[in-house]
Amino acid sequence: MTEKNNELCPNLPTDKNFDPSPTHLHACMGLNECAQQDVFGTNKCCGQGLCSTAVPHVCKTMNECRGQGGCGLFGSGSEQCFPGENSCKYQGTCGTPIQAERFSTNGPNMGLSTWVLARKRFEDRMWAKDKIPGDSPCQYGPPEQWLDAIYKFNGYASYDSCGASGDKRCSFGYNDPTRSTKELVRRSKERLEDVVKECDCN
Amino acid sequence: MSSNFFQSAAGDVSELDNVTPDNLFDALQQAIGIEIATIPLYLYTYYSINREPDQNAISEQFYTAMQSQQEHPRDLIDRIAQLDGYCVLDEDFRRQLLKVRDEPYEGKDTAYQRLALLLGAAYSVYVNKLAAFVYSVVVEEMLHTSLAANVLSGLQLKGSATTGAPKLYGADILPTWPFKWVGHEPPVELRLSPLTKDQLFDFLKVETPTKLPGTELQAQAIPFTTIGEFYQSIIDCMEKENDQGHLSYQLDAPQLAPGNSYYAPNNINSIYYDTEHKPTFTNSDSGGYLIAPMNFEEAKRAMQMIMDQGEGLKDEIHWDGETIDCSDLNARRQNYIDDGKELPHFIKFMECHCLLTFLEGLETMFALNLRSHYVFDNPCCPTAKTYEQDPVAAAIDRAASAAFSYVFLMLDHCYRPGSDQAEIFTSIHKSMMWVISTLCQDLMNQVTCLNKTKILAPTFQFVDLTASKADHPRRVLEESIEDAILVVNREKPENAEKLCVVLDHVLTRVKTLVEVTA
Repeated sequence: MTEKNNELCPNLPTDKNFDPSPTHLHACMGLNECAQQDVFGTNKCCGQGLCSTAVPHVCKTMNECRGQGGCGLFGSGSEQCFPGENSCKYQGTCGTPIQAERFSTNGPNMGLSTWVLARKRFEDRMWAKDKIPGDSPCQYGPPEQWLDAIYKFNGYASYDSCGASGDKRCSFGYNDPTRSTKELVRRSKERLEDVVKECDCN
Repeated sequence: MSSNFFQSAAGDVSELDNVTPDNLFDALQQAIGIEIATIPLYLYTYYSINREPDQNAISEQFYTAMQSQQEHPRDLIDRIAQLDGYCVLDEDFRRQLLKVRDEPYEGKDTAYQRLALLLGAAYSVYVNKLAAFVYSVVVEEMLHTSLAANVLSGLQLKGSATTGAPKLYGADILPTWPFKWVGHEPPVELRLSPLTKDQLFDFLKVETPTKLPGTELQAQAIPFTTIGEFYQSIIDCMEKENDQGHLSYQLDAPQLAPGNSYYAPNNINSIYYDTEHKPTFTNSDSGGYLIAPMNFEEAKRAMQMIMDQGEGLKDEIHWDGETIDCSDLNARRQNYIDDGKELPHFIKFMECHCLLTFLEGLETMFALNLRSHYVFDNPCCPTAKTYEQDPVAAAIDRAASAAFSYVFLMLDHCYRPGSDQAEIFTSIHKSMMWVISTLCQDLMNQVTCLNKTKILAPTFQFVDLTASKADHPRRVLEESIEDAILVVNREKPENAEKLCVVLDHVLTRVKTLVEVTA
């Protein structure tokens, strides 16, 4: 069984069970350091994991451990510069995993994709360790619909992140949510180098 | 709109030297109380808004109404464009409406369908925008509370043995409802109310840059006519003292300093999606920030920020306190947009009023009542006694009030020497998002009250967390949630099991909050 993802990424398996004892905790798809470190424990390479191994949580201050905080939606500008890099329990600023549709709400990455920034920072860390990050299974991060499907298969009611302002990918009946997400990613990639510089400067 | 309306009103109050060295500390404490009172006032209305109205159901009702009325689509759209408040809608939305009007006519039904889709979207966009505006003001009122407390903390005047020590928790600090605004001239009584135009009008009274009509004087506190004038009076007094070398700050006094991620101007609740589903931020990223004054100039800057964010640039805004002129709003708004500044609270609330006027105008035009789609049927205007005869409502409401009170007790601790502000702030953030929001939105929306005629909403009463025999104040909060669980299990409302699951979640979260002492 696979789930179509509205052209945001190739069809991905939705019928696999989560690894009950993940060896390494990280916040999202494409952010794993080694093989067999994704939520299913089956990925072959650094940066190719399908999903987060963090204890699932939906929002700021709910993360259990270091490196498990998602980012975007809540938190200060400086906090949102470093998605998935929190140093302590409760210090994350949003839920995990980080869906492709999520954006930052403060700081240099305001209004831009959180996952794109997280992936860029992850790649930089890997290169610094002489590791070669493989391509992420989805170029833009995991789409919300796919996350919903895999979480439901594993017994969770659904996947969602926090906030009351509406569905991050919803349309008003005449918009195309997939196009909106692609547009978000396009803008984010254009600004990415500047965002990283501004974040590091701050 | 008359800009000189107030020349004959209660203008004399502001010309008095209301704030003097003798009452400066009291004035700053009063300012903190003013800021705190706005938080539950705005939050109650915010929680009453359903930010995700069922667009399809709304479109369907418009479509049915159009079919029934059989008016030509072009005429319908012309009438919509004449509605009060239409001018404040986004340009893009107005363009889309006109596009439907001007496109080749393919028959009434097709045009009705397209128009109904757009009108349904108008509710999704503008109800959400309205809520984002209200929430964005709540966020900044939290900032203003901290800024006012920072200005007071450590303040010293020559010849006075007192050093400023702000209080943010207590029966005399947190408001009771209805709230008689102490010191405000003319007297203003504020009530907790779901979203209505009247309530938004009251918000404008709170944030007004100009004096309100009326001359009756009270003598319960330092009198003031607008928040801005009150702060200006404080600034004037501090400036005089500073000029004479009488003003200083105790440098190690606790303040909430910038750079610690205590404050973030936006979060997901202060954004809305525009007609193209792009997130739109209602606060500026650089619009407000914490200032921890060490001298008069920094204190002045902190208070100026409060004034600018609240009522806006004084020279540019006049209000007669009686009328709302939506046609004037775009020009007022544009001044801020052109300068890259965020909209002040006063303008935000005026826009909210105009948006609601437009939506209600649409409903009148099509003989529809869509309010239940976007406003929860909460009581107006609850007090401590409102839920007395309803044990489930009373118990859940008390738990919410206890959580609200605990936030301010934690904030109060931030201004006590030696407190771990970073740890406390993690708990404050968690309380706002995952205790108060869960109780006041997720849980209360599932509870009926007042003989099942209304949906429960919080009364935000002060709960004394320090007078109990419990080990510590957090335990009192825990007990209030445990008590709510007991009452729900005893009274067995229809959805008792579901309510208890949510309350259990909240209790688990509360147990992770920092424990502060009495």
